[in-house]
Amino acid sequence: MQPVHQAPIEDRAAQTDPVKSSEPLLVEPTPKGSATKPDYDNKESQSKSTVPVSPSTFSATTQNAAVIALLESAQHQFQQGDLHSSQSSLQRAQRIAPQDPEVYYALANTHRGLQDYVLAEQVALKGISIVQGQSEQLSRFWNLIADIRTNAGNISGAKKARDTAKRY
Amino acid sequence: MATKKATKLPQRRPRRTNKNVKFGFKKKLARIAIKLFFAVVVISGLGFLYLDTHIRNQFEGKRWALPAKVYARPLELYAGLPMSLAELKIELRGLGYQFVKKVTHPGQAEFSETRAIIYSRGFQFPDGIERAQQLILEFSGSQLTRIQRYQGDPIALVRLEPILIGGIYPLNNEDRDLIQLHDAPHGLTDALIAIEDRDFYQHVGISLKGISRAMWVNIKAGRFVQGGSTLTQQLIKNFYLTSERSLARKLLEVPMAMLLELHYSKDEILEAYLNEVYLGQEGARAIHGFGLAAQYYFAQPIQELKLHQLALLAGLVKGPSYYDPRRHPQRAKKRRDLVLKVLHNQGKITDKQYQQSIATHLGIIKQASLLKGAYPAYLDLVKRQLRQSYRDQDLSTEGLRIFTSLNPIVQHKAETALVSTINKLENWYGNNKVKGLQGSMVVTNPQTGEVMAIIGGRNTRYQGFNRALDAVRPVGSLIKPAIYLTAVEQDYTLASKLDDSPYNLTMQDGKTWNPENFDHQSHGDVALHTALAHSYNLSTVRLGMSIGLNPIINTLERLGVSRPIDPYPSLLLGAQGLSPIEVAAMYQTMASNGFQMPLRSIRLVTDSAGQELSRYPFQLKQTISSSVLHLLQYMLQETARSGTARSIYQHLDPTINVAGKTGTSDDQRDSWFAGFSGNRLAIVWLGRDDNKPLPFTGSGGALKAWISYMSNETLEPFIAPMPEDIEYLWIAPKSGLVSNQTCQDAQQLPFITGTGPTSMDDCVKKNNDPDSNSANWLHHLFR
Repeated sequence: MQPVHQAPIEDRAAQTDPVKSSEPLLVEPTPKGSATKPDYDNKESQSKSTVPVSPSTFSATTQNAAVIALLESAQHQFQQGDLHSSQSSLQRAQRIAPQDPEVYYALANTHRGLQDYVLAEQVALKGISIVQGQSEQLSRFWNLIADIRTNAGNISGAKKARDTAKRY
Repeated sequence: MATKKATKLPQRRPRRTNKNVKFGFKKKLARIAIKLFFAVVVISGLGFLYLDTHIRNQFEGKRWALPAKVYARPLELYAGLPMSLAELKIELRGLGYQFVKKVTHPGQAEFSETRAIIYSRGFQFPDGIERAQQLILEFSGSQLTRIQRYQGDPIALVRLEPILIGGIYPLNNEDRDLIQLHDAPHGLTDALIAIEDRDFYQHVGISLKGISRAMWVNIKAGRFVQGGSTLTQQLIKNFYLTSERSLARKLLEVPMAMLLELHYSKDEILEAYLNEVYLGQEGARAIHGFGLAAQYYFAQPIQELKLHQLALLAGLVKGPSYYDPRRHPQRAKKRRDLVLKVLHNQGKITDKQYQQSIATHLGIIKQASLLKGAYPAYLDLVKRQLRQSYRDQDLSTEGLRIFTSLNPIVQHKAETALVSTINKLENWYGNNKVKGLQGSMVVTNPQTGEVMAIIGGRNTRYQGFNRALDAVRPVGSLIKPAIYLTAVEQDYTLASKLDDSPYNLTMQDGKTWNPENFDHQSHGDVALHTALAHSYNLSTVRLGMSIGLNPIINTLERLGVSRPIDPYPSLLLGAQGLSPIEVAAMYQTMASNGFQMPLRSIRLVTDSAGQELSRYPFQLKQTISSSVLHLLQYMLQETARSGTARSIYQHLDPTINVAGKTGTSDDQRDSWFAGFSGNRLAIVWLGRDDNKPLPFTGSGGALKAWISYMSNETLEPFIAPMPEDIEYLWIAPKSGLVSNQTCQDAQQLPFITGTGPTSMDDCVKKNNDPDSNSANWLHHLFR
């Protein structure tokens, strides 16, 4: 049986760059007066007050079973070296749970695997913007950024990130 | 010797001439004939060889220019998905599911009050196969709470097949969905062979029996009613030859049909025929092949069609225009019933099948419900993004598969909201004042930067001017967040006092610019956050002039505006024109805590076999610090709570915590609203193409459409995570100094740590005064 025609098209993936080429802002941790652990509990209680306009600090979302399944697939694909599939699974997870820090952690790590260090760091920073007030998570993400910077050859940047991680 | 010969020759010649001339002539003739014969043989041979090569090359090579197929996002089903049963129905209608009492086949769905049972069709995604399966979905209000396989276990996640939303067509406008022979139901091939070429599996490309049968039928009828062409000849005619009716073409048809039969099996020929045949016309678009015809007439895949539907499609081959079931339903039904009768007579179907089928209506869908062509504005964006990486020719011929992020449910809701709001405004203000009112809308996912819906004008199916991308209109106060963001990046805080007194500026040409507030009033000294929430013009202009236009332009660039902007003072009140999609990019950065994300409409492009060609992944770059953006988000939330957009909470749940900004251009020519919740960012523009003034502002027009859309969405709250260098302080509104909870009208405002005021308001001092404590206690009780 003659199969339905397969179009001979070259792979243009490498040529496709939907991102504007300008350099992203490399964000350094905010310098604090002291290296003491911030009093997050106090801040949380502040913003949970009755002030009508104040935004919430963060919401600790319980992980959805669908997201867990996708994170597991992504991890498996990552371990198999199939980083593009891992990226696809994580983007599916992100659409379902865009406030789940685990998604950004894994996605940043996948981009690190793909040697796209600039994007990897930005994704990790997005994760950091979500986990504000959660010391363990902040420490974990800053350590990831330190690893990314180390891979990218930015040794001093990596040290700064590692120092920041230690603050939490 | 010579003489002898000479004397003899003339004598004998005449006699020899008589006999030999004849002989010689014949011989010459024979020679010529032989030569001619060989020439004919050689030419025919070469001709055959040429034809043979031509036939094989074309049959084995790329047979058709295949349009690119553009898909909507696939619906991901999982427990916890914010989606109601009604929304699921929108999706399933788009997919052409049949709503039945009892689900038995793929492409069917049954519903109870809180439950749906669907039989998905399955789909080969680039990253894996979703198989066809029967699923039970349970809903509670606007949430999907549980999914399980029919008589099976709960499932974490299932993807439905994506809706095909359009194509990118080749110059000849031929559109087709290729099928393989095993995809074609037996009913179709039986019906086709029965009505068009009953000896198909016996003949060698041409059928003498068929020709004589046709001649006999024609003689009996006294007119031409039946042609003797076999399916193979028809395929040759359509596939290889031009449509002109000439003897040469007719003469070529026979040997070509025989050659085709010589090389290829009947099944291969039949499969090509099923995909080649012309079956209808929709404007310029020609419907080819049974795969597409099934979608075009019934909005279902060919595998799901019933016998009567297959018989109709087979009957259409004879004359898709003459038997067009939409224009000539009676004629089409007669033709369909004839096909069924022939099938019955040939013993291919039972009496019962025959009787049931002829008693059934044609069941053709209305053209309007087909989703191809339903989203011209979105497809326009997709095509523009594709053209950055692909040639037009590849897009229209290589059968590319393009997976987009269009969400048909969101698009449906946005269209309903925009169109109904425009209609209401017309009724309200009368046709004279808002004649030709137009609108456009862009909806994105504020977390991922994916474009979910686009509306290019009030006629949402119109393929012309796409206002969402091309109407560059002054944005009015939508520009103001960039000014206030620049201010808080400098030395200003939310509690800083701004001067809202009248302002004049003498321009270089000697003219004076006198901006005014919307209410033509001056508000004296106002807090910075109040000036933005209430969109005061005077204080904004003063603020903008003090921080400088270039830093503001730089902020606009960091927010994602890429067009060149002139540093004119009128920029401060939004004289700058932007398209709705540019505004969406700008507000996207505000919604995502300072991370600029390119708006994406395409997720992935594959070739026709599903091999990935390019992906457009989630990308971002932080261009504004989360802390200063937190301050802006606060002000935009205040705009919705108590500012120019406060009508929002008459309709939306206050816990959704939306942020947004109204915009009205000079002379009220443009009415804008830009705002976001946690899961939706929507930009609405209303105005007239002739640029005449409107009788309403941003809040009187565009905001109404925005509210109408958002109140029909399942919204998630906008959560602004608090960066660690942000602190909230109680501030007295009048003095702008530190206050506390117990003071009247005190408001909690965010500050970058250490930048807030340090002096205490009089109220705090009084509260600390033991003499006033009792009075304060009483006051607090009645707050």
